[in-house]
Formats: sequence, C-alpha cells, structure tokens
Amino acid sequence: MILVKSISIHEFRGVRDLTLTPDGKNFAVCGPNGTGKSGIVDALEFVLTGNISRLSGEGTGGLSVKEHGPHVDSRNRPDDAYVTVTLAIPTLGKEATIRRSVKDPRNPKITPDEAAIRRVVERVGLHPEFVLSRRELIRYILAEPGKRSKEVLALLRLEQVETLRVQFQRIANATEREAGVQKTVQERAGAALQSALNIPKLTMAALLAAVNERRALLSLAPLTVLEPTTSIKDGMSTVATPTQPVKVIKVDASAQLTKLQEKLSELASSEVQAQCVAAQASIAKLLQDEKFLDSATSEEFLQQALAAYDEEICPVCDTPWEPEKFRAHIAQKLVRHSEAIKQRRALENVLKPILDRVNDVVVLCTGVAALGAALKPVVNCASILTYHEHLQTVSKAMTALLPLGKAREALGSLASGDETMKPTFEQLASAIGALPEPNVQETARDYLTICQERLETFRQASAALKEARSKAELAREVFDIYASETTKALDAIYAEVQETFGRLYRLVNHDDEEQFQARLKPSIGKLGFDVDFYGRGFFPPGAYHSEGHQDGMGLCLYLALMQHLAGDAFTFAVLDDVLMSVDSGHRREVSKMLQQEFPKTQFFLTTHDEIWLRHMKVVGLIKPNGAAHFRTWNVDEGPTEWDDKDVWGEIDSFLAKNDVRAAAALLRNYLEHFSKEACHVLRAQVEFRGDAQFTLGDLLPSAISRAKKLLKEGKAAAQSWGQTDNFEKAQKLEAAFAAAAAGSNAEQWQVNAAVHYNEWASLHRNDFEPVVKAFKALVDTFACQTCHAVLFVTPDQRSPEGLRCMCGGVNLNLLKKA
Amino acid sequence: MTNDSTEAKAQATRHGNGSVAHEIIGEFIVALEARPQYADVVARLSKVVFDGRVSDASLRIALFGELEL
Repeated sequence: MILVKSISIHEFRGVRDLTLTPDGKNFAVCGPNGTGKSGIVDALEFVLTGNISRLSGEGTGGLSVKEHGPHVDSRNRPDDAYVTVTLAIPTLGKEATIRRSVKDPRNPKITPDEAAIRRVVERVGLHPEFVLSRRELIRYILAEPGKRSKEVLALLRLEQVETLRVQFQRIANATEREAGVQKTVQERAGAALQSALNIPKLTMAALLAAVNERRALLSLAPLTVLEPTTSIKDGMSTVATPTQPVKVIKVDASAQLTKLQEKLSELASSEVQAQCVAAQASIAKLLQDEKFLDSATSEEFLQQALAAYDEEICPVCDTPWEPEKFRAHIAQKLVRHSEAIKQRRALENVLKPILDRVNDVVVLCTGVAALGAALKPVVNCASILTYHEHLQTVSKAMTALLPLGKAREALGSLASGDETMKPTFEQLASAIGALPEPNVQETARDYLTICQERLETFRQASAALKEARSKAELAREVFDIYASETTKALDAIYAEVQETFGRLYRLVNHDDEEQFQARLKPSIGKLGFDVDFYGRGFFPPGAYHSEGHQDGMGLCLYLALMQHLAGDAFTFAVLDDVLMSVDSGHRREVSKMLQQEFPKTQFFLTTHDEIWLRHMKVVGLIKPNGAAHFRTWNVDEGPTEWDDKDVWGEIDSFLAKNDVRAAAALLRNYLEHFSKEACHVLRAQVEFRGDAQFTLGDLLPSAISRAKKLLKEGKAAAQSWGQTDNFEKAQKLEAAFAAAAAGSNAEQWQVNAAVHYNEWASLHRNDFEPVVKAFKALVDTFACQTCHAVLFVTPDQRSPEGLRCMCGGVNLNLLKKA
Repeated sequence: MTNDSTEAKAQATRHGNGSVAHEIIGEFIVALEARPQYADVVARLSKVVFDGRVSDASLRIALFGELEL
C-alpha cells in the first residue's frame, strides 16, 4: 500500500528536529536504550494514524497524544509538534506527503490532496497494526486462549465478528434465564389453581370433573372441553355491584392459611436447614478465596457497566466509547473472570431450591395479609407483613449473591423461623372459622369464581412461558448457527495462517527444527495455540521453547497474520525492538527470512543491539546507508547520531569550554564505536570476551594492526602482479597510516591496555587538544579520502581478496600472483 | 462454477462493506436463509448485523420482532 521515502520529526516526543530517509527501503534505527528510538516509532505511527498507542493503550491512564505528544519543552505549543512523511504509493504510481501536527491530529495535510491518495492514507490510518513491539508480539504467544483470540481477531480486523458472537450469546443466555423465571411463575400459578380446584393432579379431565360437579349444583350445563378461552363459570352471573364489600371465601381463606403454615414448616424442616448449612459452607469456602472475591466483584461491576451503557458514554468514567469497542473492551475483561463466573453459577444452583421456597412464602404472606385486612373485624397481620419484609430482604441478598457475607447472613436468618406469627395465625383461623358456612350453591359459586381467576392467571403465565421458550429456542438456534458459521470461516483463516506461520518459523530455525509444526485451534471465543517440541508432542509455546524461540514465533505469527490480512498490500511494517531474546545464529536467519519472504515489504526496524544491526547488514536486509545509529539523547537536543562531523565539532565545543572530562568521554565513546565498525569491516582479530563488552583497548590496536597488515599484503600483491600504480597507492596509504598510528600512540596500548586513554580526563586542555587531533587523523586514514567510507575487506567471509571503499577510489587486490 | 450458494453468499456480502469480517457475517446470513422458518428473522437481521454499532436491543428486535405496546 505505502513505502516510506522520508520522515521529518519536529518537536515531537523526545525529538527536536530529525530527518531520516529510508527511501522506500528497509531501514534500521540502532542505539542504546534511552537514545530516542521509540520516539521515531511513535512519530511513524502518529503521522500515519493520528495516534500513539504507547499513550493510549492499556495502563496509560492520564496520558494523551495532545498533552504528551509534543516535546516536553513544546508542551504548550502543540502546533509546533509535527511529523512529515513522504510516501511512495506503488499501486497509484504516485508520491505523497502527509504533515500531521499534534494540534490537529485528525486533519493531516496531504499533498497532493487527491481523492485516491486520501483513500490510501485513510486506509493506512485504520491499520495501526503495522507497528509491532515486543510487548505486543509476546501477547500472541503467551496469552490465554480467550485473550489471544481477541488480540488476533483485532489484528485481523475481525473484532466485529467476535462482538456479534458475544451479543448473540448474551441474548441466548438472557432469554433462557427469562424462560426459567417464567417457568417458575407458571408452576406457581399451576399450583395455586390445583389448590383451588382441590384435585390431586392438574389435568384437563380432573379439572373438568371437579368444575362440572360444582356447575351441576348450580344447574349449569357441563363443560365438555376446555378451550383456551373457555370460562369455567360460563352461564353464572358475574356482575358485582360496586358497593359490594370484598368477599372472603371461607374455604379459600382456610386453604391459603393452611398452605402458608405448611410452607413455613417446610422452610424450617431439617431438609431445608441441611440445604442452608451446605450453602453456607459453600459461601464460607468462597469467602476464603480472595481471587474469587476480587474476580466476582469485578465481574458483577462489569456486568452492571454493560447493562448501564447507553451506547455512547461509559457509565463509570463518562468517557465517550464506540459501542463495538466498549463491548469488546468489557468482554475482554470478562474473560479474565470466567473461573469466578463458573463458581458463581455453581453456588446459584445450590441456592436455587432454597430461594424458590422463600419466594413461595413471600407470595403466600402477601395473600394471607390481604385476607386479614378483608375480614370483619380486621385481623392485624403486622407480624406476617414484618416477616414478609424480612423474607424479601433474604430473597434479595440470595439473588444478588454479593456481598457473600450478606448472603450467608440471610441464609442464617432463615434458620431462626418466626414464632411471632403464631398468634396472628390463630386469630386468622378463628376469624375464618367464624365465617358463616355457605350453602351448597354458594360454595359451588365461590369455587368456580376462584378457580376461574386462577385459571386465567395460569393461562397468562403459560402463554408467557410459551413465548419465552420460543424466544429462547430461536436465540439459541441463531447463536448456534452463527457460532458454527463463524468458527468454520475462522478455521479456514487460521489453517492458512498456521501453514504460513509454520513455514516462516522453519525457515528461521531450519538448523534444529526442520520438522516444526504448529496448531492454531479456534473454538468459540478462544484460540488455542500449540507447537511441536522436537517431535515430543504439541505444547503451548511457553511450555518448553526458550524465550528467544518464543520471540521468533511471535514475529512469524504476526507476519503470517499480516500477510493474510493485507496480502499484497502488506508493504510496510515497523518492528520495534522485537526479537531481543533471539540468539545471534537465528538473527541472521530472521533477517534472511524477512528479506526473502517479504521482498515487497519495507521493514522499519529498531534495535538496541549493534550485533543485530550488523546481521541485518551482512545478510543484505539493510543496505549500508539504510540505518541511523543513535549514540546518545538529551532533553535539549534529542537523539544524536554517530556522525564524524558532529563528534569532532562537539569535542571542540567541549574543549572551548575547557570541559576536558566531557571531551575525553566523548572521544573515547566515539573511538569505541568507530573501532567496532573498523574491526568488523576489516575482519580484525579481537580477543574474545564472553560478555561482548569490548573496551577501546581491545579494539583500536587490533584495528590498526589489521589495517597495517592488509596494506602490506596489498602492496605485496600489487608488486607480484607488477601493478606499479597500485603498489604506489598502497605504499602511500601505508605511510600515511603508519604516521597517523604513531601520532596517536594507540598501538602502545597493547602493552598495557586501558591505562593511557583512562588518563585523558585528567589532562589539561592544551595537552588534550593534540590527542584529539592525532586521533582524528588516525580515524581519517581508515577511510577513503574521496567517499569518506571506512575501507572494508571483501568478501566478508573466507579468505580476504580485496581492500576497498564504497566509491572504488581504493581497490587493492590482496591475492598475490601464484 | 457459480452455484446457488456462491450467489447467495455474494448477495449477503453485498450488504456489508466487503471486509473479511462482513464476508464471514454474510456467510452466517446465508446459512440462516437456508432455514425457511427464519425468513422474517433473516430479513430483519441482515439490516442490522453489518452495522458495527448494533446494540443488544436492536438485535433483540431483529430476532423477535418489535415489542407490542
């Protein structure tokens, strides 16, 4: 889609003013930690997307691009903080420039401002995943399957598929719960009807028989069938005068009172008490489990947040959220609490039979209290109402479950029973008993009236249950189809990604894992990931593979996913200090793999490891001028590169201020850096150090000695071939080199390395200036006087054949005539 | 070879923006369409599932129809 030709950064993050010119090719930024590499990555991400994920991701509360994007000294001038990038757009055959300022990050200035170019820029802006940091890379590898699924789906831009799945599942679960509640309501209505009918089992035949017996007493025609609209008191006068007082039907009142007392006895029975004890024990166990408590509390909080979300603003922090992102964010957090959710459901199952009984008593208390108020004289049912209130509190605590202590307390209060209602029950029984006995016709009339009322309630509850079940079945079926279809599609995607991933990983590790295989196993909402470990079986990547191998896997998986996602449009990626744990042998292979498998992709790589950079160069992933080498960073200047002109000028400026200590330190650091490069390109022998901490005393004398030897060989070879010009050129270089080396006195360090340059800091300015001059002369003689490139040996492996520079000005043959 | 299923898939995908995500959701719509009893549901669902901002309430209405007042 795009290639980066150049990037200019101004007053942005830790950078004051810097331009890099990758020219559409792979580019590396190398430097120790804290030299500003990440600032370059931030700038690239910002100019292409308008965002800096480092300032907006998880755990970055209080940070923002607007406030913290500008350099700290420009924090009040966001318009002065901007990044400009020049892009090549191969598909359009055009170049474009984007300039984006922190002041107005959503409106970049695009030149030329053409619709096609703007579309490309907008598309790039939607794909922040072109930046991969080690932190992200390891997320794919070591994450829990649920979380990995989210990360991978986000990278593949498939969050919407997952969000919809979560929504369908939530609706399916909710409608099943609603059907469960409705079933309880219907069962309760059925029990009330059966009680009123006074039949052993609620069947149509039993109902008709019982009803027709009463209808016969009233000379009403028998009912032969019970249709949904049939009234069992059909034919009976139902008109009541408005002044008629509420009539208490003796038999019904008596039955209600008996039922309540029975239910209360059941609640106090040893069976229910045993259930309460078991439930309390379960709660006590969970109360000891701090992880559950934290998790369950968070889960409940998240569910409440989800329920209270109004499609625009987070109900907790008032931050505006896109609905899809908000739900995905909460769903991702909920995955962490899946174990707590499981434990909670188990406890709810233990509590359900107790809760059902409590709710039955609550309903009966309401009915009996109403009865007391309807009797003449009124029976005071305050004790029943108080108990009713208490049970409602118990029911609420058991339903809410959290806090667990409250639920346990509620269960304990059930065991106490309630003796205070007994006198009220006696008064009620007495008042009901005193009601006149109705005659046979009145009893039949009362019977049919009550049964009709309860039949209506039962019919409504049954209709509601039928509808709730139908919704639940539909929601479940749709969810199952959705899950099945999306899993099938994701399976196909992951199979392809798995194949590419395995191939890339084998390319990097062909020396010892040539048979490597991987398995990406998607299941609903999860993505399992197992890898072969030397033919011993499939295990999670973190089980046996080293950290370095895991880093390699992360990169390969990222590349496989990106290739699937973007296909030919995968033309640009930033690899921010990834692969830091990969051993040197495999780094070379990683570089080769990137170069060979992704020839159309421009990689922008950062590393703090110079050896890693060298591998990239040796393999050809990075061209000789395709890197910026940062040496230091300070808040006033930002990152500084290893640049000869800068260094000598900087040393002079320190000396002008009589700061010999600073000048000496910089000279030493620069010479260390330069000597490493010289030893590398001249293939000098350096005493091996296991910790790779080579000092200037280890490096510079070896570089000088090697250069002298090569020039001597070049001279001898030219002589053997009779090449007078080359002989003279080599002789001249040799003489210049010998003079410079003698002037620096560095060769003597081999006698007692580290002593001499360690004393620089204590020299006087006048004594140190000649030292600087001598070393500048020495450094200059390592380079071609025309192109200023350090002379290098070719080839970079096997026997040296030539000593050359970049422009061809120096081209000494090292092979003598046989 | 173009078969009915491919045609139906293309039809469903046309509702979306052509992204991989919408292609997958389109395949779900096609699978649902194969069940005649869900004709009404499919018609309603295909109007909302491609919307990245679809809410639970809209999905419920699409699944079960408008709530009666």
